[in-house]
Amino acid sequence: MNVKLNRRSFLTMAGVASGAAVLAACATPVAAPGEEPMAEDYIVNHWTWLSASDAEVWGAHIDNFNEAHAGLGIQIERLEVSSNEYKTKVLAAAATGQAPDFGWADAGERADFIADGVMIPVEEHLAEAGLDWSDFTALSVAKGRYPQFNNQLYHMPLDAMTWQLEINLDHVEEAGLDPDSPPTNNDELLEWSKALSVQEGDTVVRSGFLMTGSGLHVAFIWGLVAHQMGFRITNDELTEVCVNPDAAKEAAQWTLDLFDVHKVATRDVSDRYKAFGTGEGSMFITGPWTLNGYIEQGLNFAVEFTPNIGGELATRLSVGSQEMYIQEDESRYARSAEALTWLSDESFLWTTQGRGAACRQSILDRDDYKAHRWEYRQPFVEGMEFATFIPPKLKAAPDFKYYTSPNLVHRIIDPVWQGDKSVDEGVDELCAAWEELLAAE
Amino acid sequence: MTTQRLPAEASLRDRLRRMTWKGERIEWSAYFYVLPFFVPFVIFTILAIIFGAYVSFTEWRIIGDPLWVGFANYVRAFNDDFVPKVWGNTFQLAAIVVPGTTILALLFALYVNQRLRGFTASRLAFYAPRVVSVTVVGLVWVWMLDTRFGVINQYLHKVGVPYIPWLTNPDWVLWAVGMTTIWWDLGFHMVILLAALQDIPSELKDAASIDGASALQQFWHVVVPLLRPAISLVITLEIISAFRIFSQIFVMTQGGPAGASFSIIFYIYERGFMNTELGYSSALSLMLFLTILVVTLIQLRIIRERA
Repeated sequence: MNVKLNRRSFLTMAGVASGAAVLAACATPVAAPGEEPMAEDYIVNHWTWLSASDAEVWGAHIDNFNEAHAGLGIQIERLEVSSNEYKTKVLAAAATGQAPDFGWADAGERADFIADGVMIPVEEHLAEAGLDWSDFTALSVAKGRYPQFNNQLYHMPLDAMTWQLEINLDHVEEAGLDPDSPPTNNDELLEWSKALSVQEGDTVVRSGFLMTGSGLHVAFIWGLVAHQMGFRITNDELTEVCVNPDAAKEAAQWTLDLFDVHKVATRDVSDRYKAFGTGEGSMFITGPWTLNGYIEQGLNFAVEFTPNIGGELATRLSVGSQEMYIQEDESRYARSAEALTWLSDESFLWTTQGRGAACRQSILDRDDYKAHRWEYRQPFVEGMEFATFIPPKLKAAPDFKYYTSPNLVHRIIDPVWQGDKSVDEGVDELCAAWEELLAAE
Repeated sequence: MTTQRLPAEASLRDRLRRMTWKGERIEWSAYFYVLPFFVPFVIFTILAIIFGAYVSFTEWRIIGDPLWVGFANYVRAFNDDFVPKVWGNTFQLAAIVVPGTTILALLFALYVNQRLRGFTASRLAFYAPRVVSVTVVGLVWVWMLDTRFGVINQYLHKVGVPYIPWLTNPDWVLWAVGMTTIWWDLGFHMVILLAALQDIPSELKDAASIDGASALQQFWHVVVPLLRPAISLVITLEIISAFRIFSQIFVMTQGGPAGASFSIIFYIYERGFMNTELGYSSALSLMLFLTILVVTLIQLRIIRERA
C-alpha cells in the first residue's frame, strides 16, 4: 500500500517527535524496576580557584579525604572556578541558596562577603568538630579575624605564604658573585642587580632585578618597598588612608630608577613567571607557588630572604585558608566542619608538596617537615617572622591591593611606570581615590 | 490574522488548521520548531537585556535587593576618568581590526575565487585559525609576539627591524591585539565574501570586458557594487565583534600595559565580575550597546547611500 506523506503531516509528526524527545530528556530519571536505589554519600561541596601545580596537589589532598572516608558516608566534591569569577559565582550561588559549603580564600580579604552575610564565623563550628585551635600559629589565626566584625574568625588557615627572593644561580656564577652572600639590603641589591643585568646598547635585555613594566608585579614591588620605608595604606584603626605618603613617593621613585637610572630592569616583561623561567631575569621576588614549576623545569636557582630595601625589613604575607558559606540547611555546617578538620589535621602534604608554610605547630615541629625540598622552602617558611605587609581588611579590599588582577591601583599607578604621570600625581591621585573608598565603607 | 468562514460546529482543531495570515495558511508545526531557539532566546537574551537595563539604575551586589539609584551609575560613568580611555582604546582597536579584516578577507576571497593551483589548501589555511579557540590563539600569539624570543620579532630582526615591544609598550599593544584578532577573524569573513563573489554572474564581467573594461575597472565597477551587501555585513559583524573584544585582551594583556589595551568589555568585566559592581557595569554595558547601535547605523547609512 502506498501511503503519501505530505509536507504538513511530516512537519507535524517530526514536531511531535522532537517535542516528546525534549520532554523525555527533561524528565527526572527513575530507577529501573527491580534495581535497589544506591546508598548515597553525604556530599560536601567545595569550590577552589587554585590552578596549575597547586590545583594538582590540592586535588590529591581532597582525593585522600575521599579515600579515607570511602564507605563512611561523606565525600567532598571539588569544583574548580576561575579566580577572577570566584566571588561573583559564590555570591550568585548564595543568592539562590546554592552556595558551596566551603571554599578557598586569602584570609582577611573577605570583609565584603561578611558584610553581605555570605560567610559564617568558623571558630565554634570547627572546635565542635574537634579542630585544635591552640595548635595554629598565632599569625595565621590573626589574619583571619576581622576587628570590624567583633573580631570573629572567618577563615581556617591552611598555608602561610611569604614573598622571598629567587635568584638564578647560573647568572650569579656568570657574573662572578658569591651565591653564599646574597643581597640583604638596598645597596647590595643594587650592586647585584647591576652585575646580573645584561644590556645591548642602551637596552636592558636581561633584568638583574625582574619586574613587569606595568600591572601587578611592579605595583607590588613598589608597595613592598613603600611599606619597608614606612608607608601604610591605612592606619591600624582603618580610619585613615595613606599614612606617610612621602614614603610611597620615595618608593615609587626608587622603582622607577630601577628602569631608567640604574637600568637593572626592563619594562619589556609582561609574564614575570615565564621571564624568570627563560632566564630573562636574574632576581625575582615571588611566592612559594613557583617552586614546583621551576624545580621540575630544571632551573638552577636559589631562594633567599627578601632584602631590607627601605629600612624596615618586611615582606608580604598571604594566608591561604578555607571559608564556610551560608547554608539554608544549617545542619550542613557540622559535616563541613568535619571535612575541614580532617583537611587541616592532614595538611602535611599540602604544606610540603603544595605551597606555603604549615599553619599547624604540630606539623611545623615534625622531623620530616623539612625533608621535602627544604633548601627552597626554608626562606618562605622562616621568612614569616618578618611578613607584616598585608592588605587592609576592608570591604573594598580588591581596590586596595597591589598584588591582584587589574584594579584601581594599577589604573592609577601604571602611567607612572610608563612616564605618563609623575610620581607625585600618581600617589596623590591614588590616595584621593582610596579616601573616597574608605568613606564609602 | 483571519479565519475562514466555518460552520458553527467546527472544532478548535479545524479552526486552528484553517487560520491564515496574509492569505497564507498558518503552519503551526513550524512554530514548534522555532520554540527550542525562541524560548532560550527570550529568557537568556531578551529578558536579560531588560533586567540589565533595570539593574543599571540600581546598586546591586547580587546578594539582597537592588537599590534604586536612578541615573547615578550613568553620572558616575561620565565622571570616571577611565571611561574615555577604555572607549578610546576600543575605537582605536576597531579602527585597526575592521578595515584590516575586511580588506584582507576580500583579498583572500578574491584569491581563492580565482581557483588557481592549490586554492583548496589556501582556503583551508585561511579558515583554519577560526576553528581554534580564541584562548588558544591568544596564548600562542603571546609567545609569537614576545619581544626577545617571539618568532615575529626574530624574523623582523633578521631584516634589520629592531625588536618591537608588542605587548609591553602602550604604543604597540593595540596593534598586537589587532593583528591577533584579524588573524583569527579573517577566515570567517573570507567565507562570506567568497560566497558573495561566487554569486556574481560571469555574464556581467564578460559584458564589461566586451565593452573594454580592464580587470581593475571590472573589479571596481562590477564586482565591488555587487559585493556591497556582503561587505556591509562583514563590516557590521566586525564592528560589533571589535567593540565586544574580550578574550584576546584577557589572555594576552589583562588590559595593560598602563591600561593601553583596556577595552570597554574588559572594564565592564573588571567592575562587574571582579568588584561585583553590577549596577555600574550594567550602565556601562547599556552605553556600549547604544554605541554599537549608533556606529552600526551610521555605517549602514554610509554604505547604503553610496550604493
